[in-house]
Amino acid sequence: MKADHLRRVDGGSMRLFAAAWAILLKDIRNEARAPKVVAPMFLFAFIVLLVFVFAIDPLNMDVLPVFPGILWTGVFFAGAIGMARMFSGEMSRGSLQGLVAAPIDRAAIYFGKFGGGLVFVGLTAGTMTPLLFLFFRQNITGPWWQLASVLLLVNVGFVAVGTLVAAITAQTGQSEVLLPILLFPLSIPLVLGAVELTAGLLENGSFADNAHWIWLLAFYDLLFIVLGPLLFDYVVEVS
Amino acid sequence: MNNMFYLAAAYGLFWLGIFAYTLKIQRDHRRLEQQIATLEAVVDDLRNEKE
Amino acid sequence: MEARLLRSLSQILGPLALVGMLAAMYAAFIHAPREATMGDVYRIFFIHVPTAINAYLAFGLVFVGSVLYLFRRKFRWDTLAEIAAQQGVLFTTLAMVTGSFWARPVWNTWWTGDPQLTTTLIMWFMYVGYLIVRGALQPGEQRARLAAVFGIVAVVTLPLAHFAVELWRGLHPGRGGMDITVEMRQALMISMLAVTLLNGYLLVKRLQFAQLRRRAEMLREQLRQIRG
Repeated sequence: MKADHLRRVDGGSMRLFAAAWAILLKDIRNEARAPKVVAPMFLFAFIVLLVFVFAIDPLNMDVLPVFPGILWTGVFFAGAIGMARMFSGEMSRGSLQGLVAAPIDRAAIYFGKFGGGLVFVGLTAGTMTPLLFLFFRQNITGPWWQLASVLLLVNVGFVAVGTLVAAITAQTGQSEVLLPILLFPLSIPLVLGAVELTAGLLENGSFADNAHWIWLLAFYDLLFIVLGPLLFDYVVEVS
Repeated sequence: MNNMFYLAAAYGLFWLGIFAYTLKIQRDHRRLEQQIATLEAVVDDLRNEKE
Repeated sequence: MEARLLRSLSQILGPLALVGMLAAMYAAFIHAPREATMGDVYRIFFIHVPTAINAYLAFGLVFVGSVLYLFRRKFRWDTLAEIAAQQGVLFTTLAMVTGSFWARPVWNTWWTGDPQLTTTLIMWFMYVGYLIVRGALQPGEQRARLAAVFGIVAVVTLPLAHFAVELWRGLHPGRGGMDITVEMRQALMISMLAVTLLNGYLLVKRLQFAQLRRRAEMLREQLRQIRG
């Protein structure tokens, strides 16, 4: 415990960043070799997309009022599938203990995993969103970066909470079932914000009426970026 | 007034929930106390035998 | 010492809760007058509001227990959090049921997208989730630690969820549209006190049970030592 403490003092934020970066790179390399997180997420996203297209029939119906809901339901479900597997590699190989025992701050593990989640979920959401727009024949009237920034804001919050909760459920061995059950109620503020902001963008192409939602999402993101690593420390503690 | 049905149902279900919960607590409590009494007796017996 | 404290607490709280609940029933059905627009159904209010508030109190205790467990690492705080979560879920369920039976005749629907209702449902899901996580783990240090973290996350997210839902739907127009008389306010105070006492009594009873279980475990351990 004492050594740990000393390391934290002299290590500084650069070492935290370097360690988090190393974990992130390791996860991306593993994914490139065998996409255990991204592949099921992509597959699930496409299935959800297809189910929605069949169920709602966007060719013969005005889908504008329900489209934001469809978009974000798909993204959140697919995201939960991915987050549930963020720690599956470590759990099956038993290397989480190794990672925790390594001479790095545990916050670095959190931020490394957080970065990986951002990339993987972001990739899926970034592919899925244009496809949904295509299939449902929707157009955004404003510049594309507005929707992209909503995506980013939501993604940060979702992955920040998701990483923490996934680290809990990974230890139960039933992450695939448990994580969605726990993660969806926690991400209600994100879902509502995302849907409202997207609806606004579809209607008049601006954030003008929805600035408060941006603040809410930003606050949520900030809260869990601070709380995430703090509580993560307890989640991966070696007992 | 048939609104009375809703009033009765609300209070009825509230009390049903509370009673069921209380009964469960009491039953568990009693069983555990019996178990403890048996365990204590067995422990005492074994101790006496050894002496 | 703890056992004696719990025993005397339950001996005091038990009769108080019983008398309190009887008084609350009297206050709700006889002391409080009929309400002008809603008639007698409004009396559901006297059981619904205290139950909902006690659900919040219980979940507050989950938070307290979780934080104290992480700092002190004593299992008694974990036990407190677990029991409070179970009782909170029970009270939330009862609050939603009684609320529905009020909403049906007054709002003409069992359920609405009212922010208060939606937040309550989200809260219910969170703590059922909390209990499911506990169920998925073996009793012990790890379970207590992980549950405590989730207990903290849930409480922190709740105000945000409530705020978001409120932004989303807007405040319900029906709130505050009732003529509250002095007798009604007295009845509400009495039932509030009574339900809180009941909540406390049941909580103490469960804590006592947890203590007995620890005692049984100790005896079994002794038995193993004598035999082995």
